[in-house]
Amino acid sequence: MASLPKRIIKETERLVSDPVPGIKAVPHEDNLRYFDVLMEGPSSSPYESGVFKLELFLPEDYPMVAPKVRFLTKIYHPNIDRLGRICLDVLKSNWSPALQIRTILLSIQALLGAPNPDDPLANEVAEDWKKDESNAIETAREWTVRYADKK
Amino acid sequence: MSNYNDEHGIGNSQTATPARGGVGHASQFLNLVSPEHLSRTPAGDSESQLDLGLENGGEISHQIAQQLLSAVSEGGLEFRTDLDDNEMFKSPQKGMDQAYFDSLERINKKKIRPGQTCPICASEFLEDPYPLLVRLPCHKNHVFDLECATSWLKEHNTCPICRTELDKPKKAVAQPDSEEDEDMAFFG
Repeated sequence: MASLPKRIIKETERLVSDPVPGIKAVPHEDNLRYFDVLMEGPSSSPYESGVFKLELFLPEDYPMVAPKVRFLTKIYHPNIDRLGRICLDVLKSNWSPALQIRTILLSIQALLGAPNPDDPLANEVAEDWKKDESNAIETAREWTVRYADKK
Repeated sequence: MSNYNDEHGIGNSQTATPARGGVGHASQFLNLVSPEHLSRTPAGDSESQLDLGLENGGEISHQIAQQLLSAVSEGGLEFRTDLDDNEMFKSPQKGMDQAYFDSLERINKKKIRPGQTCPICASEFLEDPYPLLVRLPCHKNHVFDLECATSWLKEHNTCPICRTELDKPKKAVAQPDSEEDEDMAFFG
């Protein structure tokens, strides 16, 4: 494998020395492009009691292409599907090489606090969300208690 | 420090160059217009010849290579060709073209603050004794290594920092049609 680009080394160092509040990202020792991520649910959201596991992978072309990020913890959210895939513009068409691992993780955390059922990935969840928001929020809270780690 | 392609493991060892930007960057163009590269165009392959803008492949390609060589040795990088479209600019629909990269404002390293880094590769500009830097027209602080900016803009039309669509203002100012004629005249 080619040596790790300086940018990835710098980003990793800063993630460790100056972590994003509520987010922990640790690279695998045997693959420094693969990160285990722990993300606290944002306060005043149905996810606030939980800590969610994600995986983040930096493809060969990073930063010309976005990191690949996926929730490993089951989560009830209109923009996150059953496989943990995330519907977020900055991970797709709105990626820019000036964005970083930390800014992407912050965007994902912000998405937890601001679900967008009009641009869904998980269709059924989005339908529930639009039909009965308070019920959907209650389900999200239950799933958080059931599947996420406690804060 | 190594160049963008090295750092990101893209490109290949043939075109890998010792330093970020500068002559190293130019030599990639020279590799691509080397006689071996062009001579694979068979005489009957009119499409390739059209792309290259060549009437009779080999001979003119040598001339162009010579022009590029002398431009580089004089320190100028006025590549007025789109010879490399097929090799280097895989999706021209969405990205910017070579003429656009040529037109970008070059920034002298004297204008760079110590510690200032390229937003794309995160290397300090001044680590390279001969940095080849460009400023995008959207903002005075939107400075990048030419190589990094090119890697992004050949497939996208937006500033990495502010997402300004860089082909919009250009269209308003310049007339793409007349520019194209000029390029053809260069080859003709």
